[in-house]
Amino acid sequence: MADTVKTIKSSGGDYSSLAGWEAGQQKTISAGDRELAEYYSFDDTTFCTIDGWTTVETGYILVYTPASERHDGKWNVAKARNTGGIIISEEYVRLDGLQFDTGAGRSIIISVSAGTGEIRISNLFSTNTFRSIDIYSVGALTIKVWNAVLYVSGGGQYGAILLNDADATLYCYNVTAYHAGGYLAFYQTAGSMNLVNCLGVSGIAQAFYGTMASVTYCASNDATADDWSGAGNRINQTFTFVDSANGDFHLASTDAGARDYGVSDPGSGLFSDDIDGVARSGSWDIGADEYVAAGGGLSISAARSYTQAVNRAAVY
Amino acid sequence: MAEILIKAIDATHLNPVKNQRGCYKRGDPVVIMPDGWGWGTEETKPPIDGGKFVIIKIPGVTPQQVHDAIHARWPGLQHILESELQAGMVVRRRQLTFNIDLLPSAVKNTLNRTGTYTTTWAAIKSFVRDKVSNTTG
Repeated sequence: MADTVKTIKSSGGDYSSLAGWEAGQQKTISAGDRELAEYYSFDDTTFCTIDGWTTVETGYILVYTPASERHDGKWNVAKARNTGGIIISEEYVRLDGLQFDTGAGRSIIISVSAGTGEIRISNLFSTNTFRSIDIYSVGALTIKVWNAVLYVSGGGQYGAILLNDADATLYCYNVTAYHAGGYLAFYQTAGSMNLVNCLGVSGIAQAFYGTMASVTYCASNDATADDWSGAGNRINQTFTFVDSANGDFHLASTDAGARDYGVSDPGSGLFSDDIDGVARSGSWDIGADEYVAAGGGLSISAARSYTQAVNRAAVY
Repeated sequence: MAEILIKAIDATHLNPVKNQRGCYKRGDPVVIMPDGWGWGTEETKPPIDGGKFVIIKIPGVTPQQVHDAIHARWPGLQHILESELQAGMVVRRRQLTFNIDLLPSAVKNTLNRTGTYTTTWAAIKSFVRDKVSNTTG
């Protein structure tokens, strides 16, 4: 039972890119062991494919940012950031606290894995003009995404997140998908897509689209969030963000579309905070952000210690 | 100048499909970076000391020129078509590889001992092999 932790830094680290780390550490991970890549503040321009490993349920890959290096729920050029993108072709991989700006390309592709497994993506900020997450050609994977902002700032393809694999089961909890390019936000063409506390905005009135397995306590700017008859859904909402034009999807104090309209603990203990590390309480807000009054919020994330971050990573 | 991080040893997987698809092999380029890149300690450890990489430094060319010659033939997220993904396209590691074993002994010794070697693109390009067409240069 051991963790192998390698740092990724622009200089002075074990590796200078995630692609280098992946090439150097590629191995069979035994049950109980974990392979951790700790991302520091710089722009990793390389794209990385995670493949050729052996991973198991308790022996998995975790790519994460310590609290001091982590984005604050919106694009932050002073923090760890990836502009190349990642392909996940392994069965047990977790990403926590990453931010992507991949231009006209995707941020994350989950593809070409054959077995059962579980992929976890948490506390993610993704912006580009294509799509944030693609899920294709995988085995019977369970994919869990929570506290994520999936922002397509223009152009793009159908779906800020797309599930297109009959074997896969996707759970999204407290995900904000905002498609400014006029396409779909949450998009399912095959597989089981389950959404709780998710906020969708689309410029063409199709924030949620597909044959969803379940949609509960979600909200849309159009009439789609309640198309699958789940409880607590809210349609035709006006969301008030801090600065959506510049990719800041924290809820404003004046928001009346998402605040306190979610269900508590949708992941059954999987997480209890928001994309900034703010503790959620009461009736959770819908989307990646939990609004807190002035004096709270972002400062909590910044105050996390390195040790806390490692412990946090151990949880995820 | 451009600097190329190259895998010096094979990674292997028991699954032959995964082994071919996903494992870096000796000679496979990993990343291309500009001159003076702050390589990590695991990337600069010489093979003789247990390192897994070597770094080829090429003065007189820009990373973009190397990128155009090599990286453009790597699969990249932006190069993958929607239809290819839907068809279950296998994203290969690298189409190009460096024939390290064919390098002159003095060069191989330097790489093994120090982990780096400085050369020219004209000198090194004949050791670059396209895995698909099996052509060099």
